[in-house]
Amino acid sequence: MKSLKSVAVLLVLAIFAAGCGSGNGESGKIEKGGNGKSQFAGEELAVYAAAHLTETFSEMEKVFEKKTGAEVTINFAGTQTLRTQIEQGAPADVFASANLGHMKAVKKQGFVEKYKTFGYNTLTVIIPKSNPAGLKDFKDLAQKDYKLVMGVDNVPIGIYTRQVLANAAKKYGSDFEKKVMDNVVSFGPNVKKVAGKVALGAADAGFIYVSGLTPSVEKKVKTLQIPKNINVVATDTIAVVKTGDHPELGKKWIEFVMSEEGQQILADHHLIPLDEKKK
Amino acid sequence: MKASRRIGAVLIAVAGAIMIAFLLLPMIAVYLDMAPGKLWEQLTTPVALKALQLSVVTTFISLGLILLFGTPLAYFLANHNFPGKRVLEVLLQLPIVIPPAVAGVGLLLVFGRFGLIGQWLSGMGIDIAFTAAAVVMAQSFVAAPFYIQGARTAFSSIDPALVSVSRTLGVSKTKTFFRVVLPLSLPGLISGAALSWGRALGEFGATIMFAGNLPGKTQTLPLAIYSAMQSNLGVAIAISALLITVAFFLLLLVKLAELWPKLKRKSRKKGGTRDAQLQHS
Repeated sequence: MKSLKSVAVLLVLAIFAAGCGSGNGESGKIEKGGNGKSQFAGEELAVYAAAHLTETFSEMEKVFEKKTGAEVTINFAGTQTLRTQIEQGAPADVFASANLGHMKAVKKQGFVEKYKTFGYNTLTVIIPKSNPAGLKDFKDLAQKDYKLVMGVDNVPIGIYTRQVLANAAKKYGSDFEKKVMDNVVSFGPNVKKVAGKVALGAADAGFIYVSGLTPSVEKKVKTLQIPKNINVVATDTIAVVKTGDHPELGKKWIEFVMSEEGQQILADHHLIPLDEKKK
Repeated sequence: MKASRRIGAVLIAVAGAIMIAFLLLPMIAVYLDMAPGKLWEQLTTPVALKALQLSVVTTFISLGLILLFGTPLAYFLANHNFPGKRVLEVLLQLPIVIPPAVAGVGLLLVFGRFGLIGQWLSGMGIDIAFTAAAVVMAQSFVAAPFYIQGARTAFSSIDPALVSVSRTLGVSKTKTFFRVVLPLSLPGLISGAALSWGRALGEFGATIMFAGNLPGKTQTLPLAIYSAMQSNLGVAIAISALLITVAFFLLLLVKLAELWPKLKRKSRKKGGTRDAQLQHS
């Protein structure tokens, strides 16, 4: 009841403001923006998003709140956790998944109607800027003697790394994978640990997500590109959840994520936007 | 003979040193990562402050509920025998060993919008999951067994003769509880409560599952660490340092509570004041 009242008050204020705007002879475009704001002002949006989107979505949240006047709360957790919560009736308006399988499962159960792909994540090899092992390209990983770090084989980054190596073995010969693994000196429990070891120079190379190239890491490392036909791509998908209370605002959020501005924020945080994938 | 004994002693010392280093180094490393000034700066960021406030409020509500509902149960278990008591006691300890994420799923299955009780509550317009109330419930679920266990042991160790004497002197049951039983079991109750509170403060798995990771609403300190790991490692380390510090003083309190009756007895025996006694020890 209380929140309804405050929404009403904000609505009135927003309409008043929009009215003032047109009275001052501002352009129709701005007036339209004002109306968009009034529609959602004060409304609360619950976004359930995969943990690797923490930085990206937090930045989008600020821009989106300014644009619409809505109040966005984001629940960041592992995709599996979010899926369980949605299956148990969590009041989620939007679900952003790091794993296509979980999104499909949620759709199959009827919690979402349709989902959209909004970006991709992929792997890269990082080396210290000084490059002590003299690694020049991806194939060098099987030819030189150096210290390599990668994720443990039961975390996503570790699983993807092994998939890349398996792909490489198909392409460059079966001993490629073994030769690379011979250089491993340490297995990290997550991307942060792997990136940290390389950034500190404790290792000569490491496999991470491109989204793990945060500014602090980027200052200290170079990347060795993994050939596209070998690399694996994780697809990020997003959908409006039916159990949520604000489907219209949820749609608006997804539109924003897909918009040029949203995709730019995505790219700023090293995720791969849609149009770049097509190239 | 002598040489082999010496080798044995060396082996024990080495094994002990490895264990100590293994347990202490990760905790010390958290403090070495950045200067104290920087640590303070990271702790006073809005994210950390909000999480701190939520953690303080929810853990104390949890502790209050645990004391209120756990004390009568512990007292009953300490003084009554009935068939199936052992089984019940084992079941009550289960939340300590099951993975917290499983506890979170269990709570969702009961109190979620589609849950056993949740669907019925939801019909009345009450939604518990993904609110601060859910945080309190997740904490209480995993932390209560520590207090119940501690309190039950404390109540059991009281000499029943003292209670009988009090009762034959015509003191009512309730008065006997507050005048005799409670003071005698207080150290055990305090240490149980402190452990319980510590467990609630560190609770992560059940909370993120049942209450979600909503900043300002359900994001307690351990959840804030998790989120900060994805973006600002500095904040994550600063909060970790805070939690380790709090945990250290908490355990110190537990030790003092355990020593308390001994210190009191000693000071009485020697006839000295307690202050003097404390200075000696």
